[in-house]
Amino acid sequence: MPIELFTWAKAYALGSGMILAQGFQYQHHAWAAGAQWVPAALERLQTSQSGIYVNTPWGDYYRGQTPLGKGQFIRVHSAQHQIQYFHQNNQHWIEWSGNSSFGLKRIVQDHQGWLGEGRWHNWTYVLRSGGQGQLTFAMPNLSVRAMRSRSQWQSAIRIRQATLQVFGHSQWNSTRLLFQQGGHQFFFQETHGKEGLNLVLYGRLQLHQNIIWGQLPFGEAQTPWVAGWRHVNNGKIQAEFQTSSSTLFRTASGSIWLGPTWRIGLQKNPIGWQFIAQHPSIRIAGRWDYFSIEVRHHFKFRQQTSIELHDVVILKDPELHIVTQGMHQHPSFLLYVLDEHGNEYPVHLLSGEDQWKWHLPEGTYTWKKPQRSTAPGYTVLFSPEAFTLKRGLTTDQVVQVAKQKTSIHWL
Amino acid sequence: MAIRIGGRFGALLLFAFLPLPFTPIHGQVSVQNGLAQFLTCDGPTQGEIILQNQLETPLTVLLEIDTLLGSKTLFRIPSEITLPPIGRISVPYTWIRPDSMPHGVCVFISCPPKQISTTAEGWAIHTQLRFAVKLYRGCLSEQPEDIIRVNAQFGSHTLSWQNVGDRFWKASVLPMAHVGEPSGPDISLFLVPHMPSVAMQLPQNTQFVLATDEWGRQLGFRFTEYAH
Repeated sequence: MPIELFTWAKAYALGSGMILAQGFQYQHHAWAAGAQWVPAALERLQTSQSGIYVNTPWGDYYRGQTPLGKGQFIRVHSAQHQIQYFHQNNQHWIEWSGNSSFGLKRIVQDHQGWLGEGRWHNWTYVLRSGGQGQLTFAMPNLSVRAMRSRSQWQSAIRIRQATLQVFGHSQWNSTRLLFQQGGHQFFFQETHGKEGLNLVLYGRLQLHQNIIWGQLPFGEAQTPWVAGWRHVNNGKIQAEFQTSSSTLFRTASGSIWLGPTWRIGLQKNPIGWQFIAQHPSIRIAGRWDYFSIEVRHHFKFRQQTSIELHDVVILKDPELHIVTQGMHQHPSFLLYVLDEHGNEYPVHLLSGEDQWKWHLPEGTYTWKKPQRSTAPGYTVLFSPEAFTLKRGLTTDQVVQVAKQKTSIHWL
Repeated sequence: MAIRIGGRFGALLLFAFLPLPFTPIHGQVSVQNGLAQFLTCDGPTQGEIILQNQLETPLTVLLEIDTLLGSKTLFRIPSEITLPPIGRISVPYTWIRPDSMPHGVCVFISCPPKQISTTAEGWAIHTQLRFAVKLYRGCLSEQPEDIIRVNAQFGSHTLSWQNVGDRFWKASVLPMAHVGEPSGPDISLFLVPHMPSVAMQLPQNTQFVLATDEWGRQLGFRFTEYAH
């Protein structure tokens, strides 16, 4: 298992100048340690913070940037149990997960109180302090769910592909009827209350490599209409367009793979257009107000370990003696010989007058005609074109090497 | 805190942007028993080069001969062998029709270059190592009364040697600040006939050099002076 080092560095060209963010990770087996530096000015663009972390086979420690955001995170685990602790802005969150009696799988304690989660046969339950919770009964073609939180309640029943959901606060105020089949989806939602009655129709259809969707509202609420289309062509080309009565939902994006490694794309969101060019090692992104380039690298260091070597005896018999005539000084050419069964053996023709080959077994061979790319600019001829190798004997083979003559352009 | 380009952070950035100097070079094949060998003319005519493959894949190894001294056709070694995974192999060589003349070849040992490719996982950097193993055969001075013909030339803290005779010469060189007061450890000297001069680095305060060969013959030099 090699020791691995991952490094990344990202340079942002903002209006005021250039700012850097960078990080590294050192990894060996299940052990890893890393750090990253992200200037505060970049936190909005980078969506991650400065931090350090250590991963071991028994647990992890993060400070700064953690899997749950900015703060401090500790995880300790065994084969059966895991305890996670997260601390942020004087508030903590601690979770146990594992297997226990009554199907209890998870217990969380945070600033909101206690939460317990478990599964027993077809039942799944979530219980929270303050009388909140969720109870679900699930079978392949039927599921029933009831949920209650501080401010609202929700009930749902699913029979095959149809789901009916009812929502409410103190009293019932919304209903949704949803149908799902493969990639297709359709729902109808009504919301009633003091503002009156509002209806929303939503549909999503998957047609081969295209997906179209739309949302149509009726009523007095200012719910926007939305219409969109996405095209995915075997992952090579991806395009998406969405329009709406609200500017917030007007987006467009497109990307295309250039060869096996580069992907370039354009993206439009409410802020503006963004350009991205991506490679496993490089990522370039630009917007009207900033430009960034990110470089990643992965180093592998092989460990010097004591290895058990296998001593191999090299057999001289049979021996092929190649005598090169013509040009003795030339690049090495990879040639091939074919035995009587059609098996191919490589023979490297090196520079020099004499060379001895011991790697071919006994048999009769014919030279494969060299391709133009085998010896570019040279002619290689064999005399004879077939030879036989026998034990105890040295077989001579003459190879004529000549530089190809180019045509003369008379002026 | 905004980190600007330059200083130690800039240096770290350079580390990420310029991975090549830090990319480890994995030896494809390595020579285990030295990069120079000498067989005396009254000794065996056969020797071996021990090659090792530490990789877990078989390797094709090419051995190319270049003549340093005498005739190339007097030397024979297989020019292409296959090294098994995690394997060590002894490649025999022979001086054919041995005579008393000095002979020398340089055997270049390498693996065929691979196709340079770019993969979806990133850039692949292929490195190729080529070992130059120098093999000599010839006579050392057999009698204490044999004449040694060497040139020696002092430079700036260096001493250059050249063998202008027909025999190989082995000696131990002792640098001295004053007579009888060594200025550094002994330096081994092996001179090949008719080859360009070889320079040895001497300690700063060296004023005298004393070379002693296996017959106990001694050559003494005083710095800035030429003698033999």
